[in-house]
Amino acid sequence: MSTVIVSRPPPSNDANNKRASPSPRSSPSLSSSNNRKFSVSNGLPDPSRSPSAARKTVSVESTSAHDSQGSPSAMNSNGTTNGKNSSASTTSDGKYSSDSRIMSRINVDRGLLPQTIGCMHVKQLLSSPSQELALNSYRQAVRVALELRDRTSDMSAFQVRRCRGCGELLTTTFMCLQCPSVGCRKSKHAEAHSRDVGHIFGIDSRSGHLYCFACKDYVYNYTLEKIRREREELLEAKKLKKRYQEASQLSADDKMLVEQNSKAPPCQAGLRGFQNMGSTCFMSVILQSLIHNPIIRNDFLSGGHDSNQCQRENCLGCRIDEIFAEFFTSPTTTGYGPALLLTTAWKTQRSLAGYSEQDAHEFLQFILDQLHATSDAKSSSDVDYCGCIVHRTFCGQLQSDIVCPNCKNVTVTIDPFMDLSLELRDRKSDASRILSLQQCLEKFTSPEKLETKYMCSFCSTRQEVTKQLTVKRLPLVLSIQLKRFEHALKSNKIDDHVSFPMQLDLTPYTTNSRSKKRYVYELFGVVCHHGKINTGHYTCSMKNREGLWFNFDDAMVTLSSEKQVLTSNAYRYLLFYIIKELS
Amino acid sequence: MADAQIRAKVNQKLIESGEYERLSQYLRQKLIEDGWYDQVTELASDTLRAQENPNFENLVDLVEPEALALVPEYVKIELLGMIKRFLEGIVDK
Repeated sequence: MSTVIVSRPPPSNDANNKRASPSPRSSPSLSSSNNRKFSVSNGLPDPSRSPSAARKTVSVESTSAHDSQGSPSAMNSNGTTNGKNSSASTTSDGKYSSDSRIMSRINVDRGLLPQTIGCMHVKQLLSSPSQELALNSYRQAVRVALELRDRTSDMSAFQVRRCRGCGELLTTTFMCLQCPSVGCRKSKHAEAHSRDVGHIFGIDSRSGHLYCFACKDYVYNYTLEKIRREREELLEAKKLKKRYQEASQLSADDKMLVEQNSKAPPCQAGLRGFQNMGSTCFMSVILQSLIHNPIIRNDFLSGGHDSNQCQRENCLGCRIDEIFAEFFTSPTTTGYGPALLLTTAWKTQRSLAGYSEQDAHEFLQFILDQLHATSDAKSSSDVDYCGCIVHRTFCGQLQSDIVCPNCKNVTVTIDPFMDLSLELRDRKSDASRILSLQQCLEKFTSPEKLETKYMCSFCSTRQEVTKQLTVKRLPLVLSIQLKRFEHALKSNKIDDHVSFPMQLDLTPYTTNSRSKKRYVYELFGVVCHHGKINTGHYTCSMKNREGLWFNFDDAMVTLSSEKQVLTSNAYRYLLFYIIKELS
Repeated sequence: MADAQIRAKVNQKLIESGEYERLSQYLRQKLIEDGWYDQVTELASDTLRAQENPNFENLVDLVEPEALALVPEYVKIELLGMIKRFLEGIVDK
């Protein structure tokens, strides 16, 4: 019996060592259709199975030189009876020397309901004896896809991905999991391949994601996604010139140790409200903004401040660390009462004591200051180059250019900042209302003629100088305060509705605004204030790890949405943006 | 030269000169600035949420036409202009 070899081409000798080109199929038998090893029903329901419509049986098989006999028992284990069953037998090509494989069958039932996570076809494949081969094939293909993706001006990279049906280079294509075929999406060449040959799995040649042609859908599978992520992260790490974390290269003993002594986080880890302990909502919202800040969160969860080892008294770093531990390991969802944090905060700063409502922005500044003070990683020199997680996350630099209109001399000063406070209205004209965040930022970074005259040290004359602020260095997380509280003749709250985007390009506001590199940031948190200036209430909306938005109103946490966050009527007070590559 | 050959040569020049990458980045930037990304993301999320059996092909069929229509005219015109200028630059080949 002749066989069909359905497996990866032999490792090529060229530098790529990947599927650089589709090598000719080694088995001569594939070209003759009467040797197809799969059966396609004629479309009529198979009465021996479930009463669903068009059923197609697909075989995923690979053979090796050592495999001289098939295992008919395994083939029929799924109960299908089909005359075209074949045993895997010796191949004419001795190159595929992997361990012996058994032909396995995957039932492609188009009538069953799709599953919400993954698809049954992938599950079947990965629990069949071919799983090792499938995983290796996938791993190889993902490596090809992701490594080639970065070679944007390399013709050969595009050639590898091109559709073998129409030769198109600049279009989405799928690499077959089981053979070297590559087909495009647009002209349905990949689909045709899956239909004709029965290979139902395709790998997106740019992202590495798995596509199931039977389900006509991209499908998620934990094992495969882990492989893909690992490769993606490896490449990211290389790109950023960081060393790949040793943690993932644990020895088997270490891995066992970690598994035995660690606990998987509950499903909605980190999602919990805070109980209001007497006008403490200004604290709750700021704490939520830290909990949902990916960089701060990752630092605390990976032991950035070890509360077991810390010797400090009244340490706010320890309190925050305890909250992170609690939120991410405890399965309870009831509101957390931050009593210990409160007492520590009050002991550190008397003004926080008492039950009156305080300003959330002031509290943010306070807590960041305290986290810096209690950090072991802080440096004693300038804060702009401090090694503590707070400064590494939030600290940017503002450049101030003061121009003397007389001698044109420019005085440049650079100062660090932890957040930007943006005016909502022109100081002079009450009428001009700024409507968008971008307009606020534009105003912040546009040249302004100062009212008081300054003595220019260069030309020694008193002049009305022009001052311009620009962002010299952007922090990883940009906190923005919209100055809603006017303290003029009487304190009042500016209710103007300010629109803001989910994605914000900050390049125009930087000192080198004509730079080709774009600095795009993504919103992950919004703090809102409701009510009057002194007797109001704070709530917030935060984006969690999965990209879902939630509203936090003290102990009440509810599912929200991007749309709600962008269009709600609440008055936004603080906005938190994180650089897009890390979001 | 046959059509296919011309096409192949143009693609080669486009990619190797880095122009394809430049054009892609420019387009991406314009679409972000215009808010197109936000709009389409919202459209896709809403459509997906409304689907009983979420499926990629269905999603594409429903969202793609509108997403294409939402691309602002000026972006299309600008990009076509850039492509045209590029072609003019290599046409003697």
